[in-house]
Amino acid sequence: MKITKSKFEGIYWIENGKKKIATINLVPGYAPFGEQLIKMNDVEYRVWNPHRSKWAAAIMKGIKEFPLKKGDKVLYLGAASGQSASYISDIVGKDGKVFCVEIAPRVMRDLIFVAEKKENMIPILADATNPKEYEFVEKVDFIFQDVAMPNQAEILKRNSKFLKKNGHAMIAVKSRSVDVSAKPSEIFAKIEKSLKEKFEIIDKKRLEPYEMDHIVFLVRQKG
Amino acid sequence: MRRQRKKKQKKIEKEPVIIKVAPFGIFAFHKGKLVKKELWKEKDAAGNFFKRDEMLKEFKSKIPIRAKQEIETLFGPEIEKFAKKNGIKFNFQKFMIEFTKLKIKAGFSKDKLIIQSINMLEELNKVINILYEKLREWYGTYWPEKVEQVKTIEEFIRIVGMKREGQSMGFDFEEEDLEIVKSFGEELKSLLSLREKISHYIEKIMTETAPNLTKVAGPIIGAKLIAIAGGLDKLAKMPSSTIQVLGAEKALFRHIRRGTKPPKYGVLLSHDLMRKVKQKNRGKLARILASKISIATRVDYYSKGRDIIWKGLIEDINKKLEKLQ
Repeated sequence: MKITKSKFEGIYWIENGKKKIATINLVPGYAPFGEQLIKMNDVEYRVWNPHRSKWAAAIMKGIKEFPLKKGDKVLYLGAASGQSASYISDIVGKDGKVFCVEIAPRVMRDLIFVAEKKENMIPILADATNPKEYEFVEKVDFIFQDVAMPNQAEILKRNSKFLKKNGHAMIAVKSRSVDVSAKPSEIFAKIEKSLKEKFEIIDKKRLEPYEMDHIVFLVRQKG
Repeated sequence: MRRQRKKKQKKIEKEPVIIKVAPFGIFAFHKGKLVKKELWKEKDAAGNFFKRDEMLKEFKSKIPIRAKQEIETLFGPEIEKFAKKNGIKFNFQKFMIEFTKLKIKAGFSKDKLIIQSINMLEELNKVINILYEKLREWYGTYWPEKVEQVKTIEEFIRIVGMKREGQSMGFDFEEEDLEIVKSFGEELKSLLSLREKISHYIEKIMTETAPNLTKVAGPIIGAKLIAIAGGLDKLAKMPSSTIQVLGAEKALFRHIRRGTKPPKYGVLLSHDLMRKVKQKNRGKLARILASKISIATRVDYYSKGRDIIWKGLIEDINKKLEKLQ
């Protein structure tokens, strides 16, 4: 088995026949989602499954940049059970913070258990379409957004007030949650156009074969 | 002297008292000076902040200065600054965990239990049907003549495992062969009584939380509608055209995507009145039912189950039904 640094901060390649990506586990021994833990030279790596996380899928599909750094403050919209957010938490480390916004109490219950172990994850039971509900969040370096809502670009724009100057955002769009009858490519083009009003598009990646009819945009806030 | 001092205290100050509500306590400032504070222990902080309006009311009455009061809620980066400045130990992440737990707890309501129960009832029905079918086959190899006579599950559980009488073309079971069949029969019997129990339970909590919906749709259909919608609140906010096709999502999305015929009804098809009208009128009846169910649900949700209006709704339905028949 070979473990090498990827070109992205805090993300590693694990080669063992198949190529996988992983982060360094912030809480050694803790694997809340049944993920594989690999120990090498006293460092524990946590395998990041692209079938379970859209950001991992975007990395596997070769997204150009992943500008997340140690110590970053992150706003995560649509954190669900906190699975993807837990990897973001690994990357930003102890000095970083991940504000996890999720509206559904059922999945928030699972996220609470993760946050009790990972001290940089802050649970917020609120509606991402209404940032007023969590105005107390400080300015962040990065926004991740994965909400199944029709007006996704609009939601990111509304939340961009939390983003620092030149801050980045990654947004995962599922075409079916926007419109079930329209063609995915048309929906993605519409969203891209809407995002361009406020952001500069750095890269975009369709997520097949990991997710069907999904796309991830990496954007930067226009100065 | 004493009198004078009293007078002085009663004087209304020009400068307002600024009350800061933080996740770790309440603080009152006057002319920049702290005049009253209430610090919360770490373990009580989330709970107290959750009922801060109540806490604030009590705190206000204890402020020694009479003046206009301005209230600020401290949240966000200021919290940590304020805590540091006043030498208070505070962990925002731990606070948010406890606070979110309280929110989750408060957000739960009895209609969510209806969802769990009706889902369980549906699973139970499947299990009972499968076990009944297999056990009928099994016992039928021993006493086919008796099983042939028995038509319902209730009759079947009374005879399953019995020693046969008379001539039979069935295979001769030994004691142990019959014993295991009998055990399954007993389990099936207890599953039936469990089904009875959960049905009664659903009827009871449906009548308590949504009395009008229960009368108009029936407890089981009403519960199914709540389950598909995701709660009484969500059902109350749905248009009746959506309620009409709840349970027919597959057909509905096939219609939207590929332009096939739209569905006319979902779970409403099993409503008692559906059997009274001809096939071609069932769509119309579904529309009528859905509209009255929608009204009933809204009254139930917004009156918290207190207002009773179902009589009028059922009269309306019956009037319209007559025209359809």
